[in-house]
Amino acid sequence: MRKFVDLHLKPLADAIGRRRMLELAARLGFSGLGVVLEGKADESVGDITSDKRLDIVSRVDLKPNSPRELTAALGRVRRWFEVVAVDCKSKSVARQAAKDNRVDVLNFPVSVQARRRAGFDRQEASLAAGSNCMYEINVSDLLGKGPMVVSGFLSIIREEVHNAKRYAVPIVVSSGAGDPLHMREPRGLAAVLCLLDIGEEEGLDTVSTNPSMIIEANREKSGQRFVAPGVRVV
Amino acid sequence: MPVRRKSRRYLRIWVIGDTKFASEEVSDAVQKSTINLFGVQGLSLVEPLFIDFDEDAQLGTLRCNRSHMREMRAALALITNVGESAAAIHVEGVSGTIKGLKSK
Repeated sequence: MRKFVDLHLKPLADAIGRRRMLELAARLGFSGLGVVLEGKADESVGDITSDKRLDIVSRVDLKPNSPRELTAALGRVRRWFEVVAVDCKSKSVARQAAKDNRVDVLNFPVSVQARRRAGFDRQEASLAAGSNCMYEINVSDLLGKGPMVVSGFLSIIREEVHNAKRYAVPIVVSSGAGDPLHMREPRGLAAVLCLLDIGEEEGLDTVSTNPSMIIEANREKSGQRFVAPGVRVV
Repeated sequence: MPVRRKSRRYLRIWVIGDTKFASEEVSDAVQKSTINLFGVQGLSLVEPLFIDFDEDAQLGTLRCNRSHMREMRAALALITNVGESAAAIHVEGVSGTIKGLKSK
């Protein structure tokens, strides 16, 4: 049986709203959640991890303005978070993020114009394939938009998905929800991929196998037995 | 002479939002979302049909063509408004028969 993971959830600031979102995620069938935390993961994870039905994963979304800023931020946060995502605002940041193997997930701007400037092109896909980065699609980016905006956005994402598949870059589909009304059940998230001509099984992998891969790999790295990729103390 | 029956799927849906919604509002939202995403031809293939809706529990049953289940789920996932209010529709269970859905 598949275990579903929503790798991108932005919990509400108040405790009641946060609890409501976690309960909803459990009811919708998720067994793992990537929760965006501010500051150091250990300090702010607090009451969130008390939910035993869910495997909570700490995540940070970096929004650097330059490659230098990104490198500095990665050095600061990598050891504190299980998942590190980068919002690639410009092409130079995107290239640096795709090259750096400390980055787990690549995110791109929501606006269609910005996406045309800094998107997941072939060169980006080629770099990401070499550093085990994943390409993320947030379903919340499609919500509440008019048909013209959605169609433009889908056409860009379709091209990006094609690039990701060409270079075997794993795709992750997340809700990106900052509100309970933007959360969706895992099979609903996967079904949105039918708009991008992705098959059913492949679609389900994007909400189960692929996000689980990141979490397992990073937990192994942070374990005491890990020495280097492929080397561990037996 | 045997006649091939159309295969269908029944979905148990759960509507959440700021207010409680009427059956017609939910049905309208489902149709609009399907047309927005797949057009009129897509609507004729997906064949969404509202079977029942409990306005107190905000739970309902929706029928669609089995071959177009993913399209139905996608249309439901992209709904953000029912009537004038913000809402979300979740699929809680799927079955080939109404009886099977109720027993889940």
